[in-house]
Amino acid sequence: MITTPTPPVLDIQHLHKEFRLRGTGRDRVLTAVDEVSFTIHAGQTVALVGESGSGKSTIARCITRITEPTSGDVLVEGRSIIKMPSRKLIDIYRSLQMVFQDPNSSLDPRKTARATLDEPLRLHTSLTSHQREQRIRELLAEVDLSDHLIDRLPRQLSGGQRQRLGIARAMAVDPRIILLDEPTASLDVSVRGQIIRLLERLQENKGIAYLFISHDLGVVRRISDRVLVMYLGTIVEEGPTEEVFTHPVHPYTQSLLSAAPLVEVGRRRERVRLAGEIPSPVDLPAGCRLVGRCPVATTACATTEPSLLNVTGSHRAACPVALDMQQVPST
Amino acid sequence: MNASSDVVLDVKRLSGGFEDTDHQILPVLTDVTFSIRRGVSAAIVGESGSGKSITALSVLGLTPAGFSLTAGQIRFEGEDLLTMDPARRRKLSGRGLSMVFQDARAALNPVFTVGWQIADVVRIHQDVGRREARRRAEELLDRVRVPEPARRMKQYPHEFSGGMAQRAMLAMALACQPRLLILDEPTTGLDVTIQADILDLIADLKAASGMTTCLITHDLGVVAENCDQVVVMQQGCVRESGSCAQIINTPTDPYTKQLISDSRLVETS
Amino acid sequence: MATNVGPIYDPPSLAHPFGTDRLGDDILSRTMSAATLDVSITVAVVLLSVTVGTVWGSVAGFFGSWFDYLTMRILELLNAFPSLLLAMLVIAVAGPGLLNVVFVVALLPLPDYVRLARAEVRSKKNWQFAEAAKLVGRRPVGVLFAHLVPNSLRPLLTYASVNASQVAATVGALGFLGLGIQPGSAEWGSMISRGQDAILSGQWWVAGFPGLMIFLLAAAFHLISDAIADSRDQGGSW
Repeated sequence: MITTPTPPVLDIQHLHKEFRLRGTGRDRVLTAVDEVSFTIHAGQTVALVGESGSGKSTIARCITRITEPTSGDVLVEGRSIIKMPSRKLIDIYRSLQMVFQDPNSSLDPRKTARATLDEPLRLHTSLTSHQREQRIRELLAEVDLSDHLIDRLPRQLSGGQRQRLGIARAMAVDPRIILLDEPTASLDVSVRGQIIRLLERLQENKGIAYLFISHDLGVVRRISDRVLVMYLGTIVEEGPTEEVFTHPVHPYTQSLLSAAPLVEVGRRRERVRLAGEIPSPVDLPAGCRLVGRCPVATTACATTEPSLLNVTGSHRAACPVALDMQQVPST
Repeated sequence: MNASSDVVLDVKRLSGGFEDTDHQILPVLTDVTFSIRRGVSAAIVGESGSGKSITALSVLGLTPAGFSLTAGQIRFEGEDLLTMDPARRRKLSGRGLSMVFQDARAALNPVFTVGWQIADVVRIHQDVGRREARRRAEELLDRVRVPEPARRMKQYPHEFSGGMAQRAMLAMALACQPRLLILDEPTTGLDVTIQADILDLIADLKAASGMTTCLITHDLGVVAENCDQVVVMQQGCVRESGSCAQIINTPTDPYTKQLISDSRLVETS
Repeated sequence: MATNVGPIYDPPSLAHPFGTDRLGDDILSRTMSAATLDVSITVAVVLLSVTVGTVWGSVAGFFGSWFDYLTMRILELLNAFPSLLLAMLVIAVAGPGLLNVVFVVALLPLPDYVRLARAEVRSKKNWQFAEAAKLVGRRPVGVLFAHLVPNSLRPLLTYASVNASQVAATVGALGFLGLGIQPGSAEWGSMISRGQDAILSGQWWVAGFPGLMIFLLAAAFHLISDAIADSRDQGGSW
């Protein structure tokens, strides 16, 4: 990646999160996120994709410190937030915001749209109540919510309107980066398209960076510049979105992409099948996490954990076996 | 033999709704008409509020309290289910018709082993003893490709992943040897790779048994890859129905067109 | 309508619709002046208890750790005593009086409020709107009192209105036992106490009307609680 004089908006270094599970006898360790590093630059959209248990949501929670990471560092515009006392975090939340998956539970059911948007303005700005009211109306307009919804409670709004309100709340303080945790997962397809278009427009106008967490590969392909594929807490492949979608290298990425249905008539394209289901992230074995499910695994895979290796440019994959196969095309 | 004997399910001008506090019926279904031919894999597609699930529940006679049908017919293999005597309908719904629900883990009873629950269904529908029922249950689990079925029989639902639980539900549905299997969002909430596995499994089971399937879903991608006959619903009305290729490639209804372009995330001009 | 005007033990009549007692006091007027006292004691007790209980319980539930632990132990201790007996003991020691009665009776349902508030807040503190409030820039105390407590009030208020009917009965019981406020002042419990002997000799109205009033007050609070519960059923809020 080209180094720029300004620090990346978000710089994740060796982020690690373990949960200790109390049990009879010894405690067991659930590794949700294992030494994950990546950066996001201004105006960029990076997608985190993976299935349940991949740790993608935990990453967002660690970045915001809703969950405290076990180790590693998170730099927001060059400032490390991991050691920061929680009262100082409030400053960080002016640059870093989040939109939650489920707008039903992420909005306070007893607060009207106005009160929901007024709260960040009151806490982060010194605007007068009149100026705040004006800003609230601007925010509603930015997310295409009409003025007459201003006194509605969340339950009086549709799912799409609630998610727009959640986006407006994140936008209220003019952040540099927004973490979007499955923002379209609970929405109908017609509403999903509108929300995606809204996010794209806001990014264009304001140059906000997005970390877009999703299992919806269609949306990811449409919205993101780069994609990170996660499996059991690690990044197994990363690269420019089109590159990863058209030339997936890692067997897991191949399996994931080939399983996603396209809206095209006829049988699915040839699937790359993995054996069984995702194992539990408790007490992970040494070596590659895909061993046991992988069609190309060798004996070496069971002992050494693969690191990310260059494929082309900034496209990297954590599978030496697949990379070898790429370089020597089989007949 | 006329053409209608090839039709497994024939829904004609079905209307219904929820009764509000003033005993007014708020319409949910309006003149829903479609038919499903024997042996096809059909799909009813729609967004939330389209009435697709309540249509399926009406066929099974499992509509929620407060909902009532006001008009129409539901013919299963030529017989109108709505005017049929209830005892006969119950018998028919067990044998001929079966349904798999979205949240498989919630549909399984947490206090009994999965094997016990499948065997129980086997005993209700097949005249066999306890031991034979268990043997058949194990066979069914094997057919839905649950690994180590003998061990899995003794496990409780919480020990099953979402995908495995959905397989167990399929096994239970197969225990009734249905001629029409309705699947209500069977893969919603499951990961894409698990979803693909389950859909493949359904296609294989269908090919092996010759049953007709009807998939209720919001996901046009799933429909396009797995079905040959599609009914598109919106707000309680059928917008369009026809062959899958025709609906996806050359839709005529504006709503269907919009739904397809939204699903593909492309802008419509 | 004046007191001390009629003959003693006069049965209900047009002049004295509820009759008179052994001192010749008009029971209707005494019952009515007692209503002010009984209703306000009941309301004061419930307000005090629900406020203290909500703050205490929600803080314990939200912050957890040693404070929560201590809270639970105190609740267990309070639950170990038979409540009315506890109230009688405290008043016997502290002496009767309006404030003492309010404080003591408020102590009785306090563990229930603390427990309820604690459970509500614990169940909601990991809801996304609480997390979202943190990201909006709220400090923990702000998250608790601006978001979690308002969303926990409905079950507390429902319980409070049920509890109010018990409180009304308890206040009456203490008055009946002579442990309420000053014996001279009109209070339903002490009026029943004054009329208890008369029941046997046939003058049922002396104790009967104040008793009816306690019953009606309790019933009124039950109706309020039903109304609160119904408003939730209709999706008032969750």
